[in-house]
Amino acid sequence: MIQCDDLREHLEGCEDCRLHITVEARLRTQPILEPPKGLVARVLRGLPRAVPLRREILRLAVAASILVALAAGGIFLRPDQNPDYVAEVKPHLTEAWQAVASLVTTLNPLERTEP
Amino acid sequence: MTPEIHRDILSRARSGDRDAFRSVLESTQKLAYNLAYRLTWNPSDAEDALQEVYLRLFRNFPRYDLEQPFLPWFRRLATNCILNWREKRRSTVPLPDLGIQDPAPSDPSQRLRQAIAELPPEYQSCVTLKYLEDLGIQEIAQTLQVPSGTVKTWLFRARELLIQKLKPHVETLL
Repeated sequence: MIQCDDLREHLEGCEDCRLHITVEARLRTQPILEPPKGLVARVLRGLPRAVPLRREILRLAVAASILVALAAGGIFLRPDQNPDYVAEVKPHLTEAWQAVASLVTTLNPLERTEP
Repeated sequence: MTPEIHRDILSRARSGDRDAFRSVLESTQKLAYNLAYRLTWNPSDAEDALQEVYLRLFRNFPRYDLEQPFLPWFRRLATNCILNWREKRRSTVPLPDLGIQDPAPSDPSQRLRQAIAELPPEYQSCVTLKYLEDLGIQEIAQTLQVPSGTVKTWLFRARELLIQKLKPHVETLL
């Protein structure tokens, strides 16, 4: 108690110490704020949404099988030996190629995450 | 104030599980929001900075080592991210908007906030980490990735500067 009285007496006469203690007390008693309502939902909405892995694997599988089919067709049909057949098959090959190209576009790595 | 998150949730969040990430977000939002608020002194800026914090957490979660405690890692990521966000904003916004326009506010709490906001960023970080969670010198040093001696110096100088700034208003503070 004597120490406490001494301290009080000192503080009454010493502005510097009073200020030190006051600032320290103010810093320690700053209020802790509650986060705004809906913060979690807003933050989650702002995160990138990854394309599901299974869907991506399926797309890759389809594109790969079309490419394999085209390559196999090219090898077995040997269109250079049958000009009539080439005239008949070429439009279909073009269509197939466009389908593959569009699939490849959808697999563009830049589009794998959506904002 | 100090959240506890189960290891299983951390493990799932680390692997990209959104529900687990939501749990981490819910557990840490109060700490992160108060950290952001005390480094920006503006509710809207604090929320924008938090968006950056959680985006970075989402991207960097796979780098988190499950054997290490999560909170110091998160605190370091959040503090760096908020300070970077603030620097980036200051370089694009011509006038600093700390939400304190009154040159000499009469409210003691606002006067203290203004005095803290005027401190150099490293002093502000130290003061925030020290008084928000009552962290020790070692923990602050780990968070800011500086030696303990530097933290002691920054805290000492920060207090001295605060006292210097608040001295003319001592009567309103008491």
